[in-house]
Amino acid sequence: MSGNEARPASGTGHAFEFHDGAPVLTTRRLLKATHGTALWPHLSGSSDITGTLNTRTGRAGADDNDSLNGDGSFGFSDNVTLLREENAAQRNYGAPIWSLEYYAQFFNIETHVVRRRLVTALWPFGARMLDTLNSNPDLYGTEPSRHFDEGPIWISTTLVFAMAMAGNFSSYLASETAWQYDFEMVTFGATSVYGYVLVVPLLLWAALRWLIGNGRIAFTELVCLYGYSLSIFIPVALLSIFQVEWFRWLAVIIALFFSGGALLTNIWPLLRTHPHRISYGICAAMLLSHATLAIVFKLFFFEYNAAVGSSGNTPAPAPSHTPVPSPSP
Amino acid sequence: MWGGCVCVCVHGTGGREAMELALHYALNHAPGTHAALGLLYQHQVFEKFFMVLIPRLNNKRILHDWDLWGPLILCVTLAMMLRDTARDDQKSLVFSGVFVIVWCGAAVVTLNSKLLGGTLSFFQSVCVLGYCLLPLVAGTLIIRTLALMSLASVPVRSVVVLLGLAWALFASMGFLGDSQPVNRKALAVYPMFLFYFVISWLIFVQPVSD
Repeated sequence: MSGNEARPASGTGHAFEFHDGAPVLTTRRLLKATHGTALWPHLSGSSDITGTLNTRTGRAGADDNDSLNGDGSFGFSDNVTLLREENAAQRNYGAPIWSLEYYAQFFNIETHVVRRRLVTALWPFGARMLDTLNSNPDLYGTEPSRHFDEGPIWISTTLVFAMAMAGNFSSYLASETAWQYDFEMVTFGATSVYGYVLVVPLLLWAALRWLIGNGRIAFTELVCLYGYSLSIFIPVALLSIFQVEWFRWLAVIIALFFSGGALLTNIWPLLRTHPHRISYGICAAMLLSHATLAIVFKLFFFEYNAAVGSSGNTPAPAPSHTPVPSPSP
Repeated sequence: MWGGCVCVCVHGTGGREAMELALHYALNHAPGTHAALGLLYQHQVFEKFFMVLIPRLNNKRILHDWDLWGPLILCVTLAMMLRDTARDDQKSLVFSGVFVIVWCGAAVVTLNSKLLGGTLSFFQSVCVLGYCLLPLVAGTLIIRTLALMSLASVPVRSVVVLLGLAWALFASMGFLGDSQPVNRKALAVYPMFLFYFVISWLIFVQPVSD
């Protein structure tokens, strides 16, 4: 890192002191600094992208045990490797990568952290959600955060079933004759939500890594971001039980504004330093896919309308006015 | 016993009479029935059912001999009953969907609690989650019986399902609840609640007037 000189403090091998007067660097602050360079590129000097990516995938036993390069400066990857080593020793005692205990270190999360991530993801005007994925000892005390927690999994699952329940309830309210529930809402919801939360962050991560050149952001961080940003659709699903079309569209548009805004607020700082056409293209693609998802949700789940006429009592119930191609089973 | 299962599957909505016939056949003519029942007794399946129905504090010992026969029986029963009242073009989808929800749901909830630092092993947790489906499956049977007597209105169904949900949650929390550190209890409890809530909804949403 240009401009900084680091030397080990006496006694411990893992505490470093920076020239800018920051206090003794513990492993948590080191994680923050290395994370921070991903989001604030002006702080970092040299960057070893591939080294970062390798260490971010979390090999428990690091090959590189040296903490110093030949000239006394620290390689970027070496610091994180050292950090991984120490954390591995703390948390899983060098558990192999195929054991469950190894992955427990990624789920080292607490309820208040999840709550904070949720809030920052839903309100795009304040703190950025990706910042909460860094360790910040000022806010969270002694527990370092991780890239990923199980929040996106449960938010996606809740969303799938909330939409299935709300959609079935709407079709029940809209039906005039004998009603039968539609299990395909569950299957289609699961495919669309899980597919979206896994595939789109993958594409975005690939674009960020190879089109923009920012390899420091991890795939799991993007999955976390997308997972939390979809949480706004859960209340929208519940609100869509009200059989008023303009209200449903309004709710969907507001949700799109908030979740798309959260995505933009978090991703745009990563794109700022790059040529504008590609950055705008990536942002546009991101928002377009998110809008497509919102519209698909609206047309498939939030569609049954008692005012227009019966819609839920045919063997293949179609929305009240627009024929929507139902997915083939 | 498997012959009985096949009979119920085939006869669909005429299941009740078919089930009685099949049970009679299985107990008197099928040679494998005694072996199957013996298997159940050996694995203490019925005792575990009883322990789920009446959760007491001194039944942690069954956690050590886990088995998946009980959850399998419950899952097959639930899937067959939900398949009966599903839409005609969705019957097989619902059957497989119930299997996926029960087993993958139990696995993911177990993984979640383990990765948060739970102390039970994987199969012990899956075993407990599966066995605690018993109140809900019993609720389904009750609703089907009430439906035959035209007593299964929406309030009755919701009371039965809510009772089953509360019972299942209470039983599973009794087994799994104290294996989590305090600052993560909500993160570990919510998936369990979601799991049983989804299955309760699947039971509640079944139409009763054919």
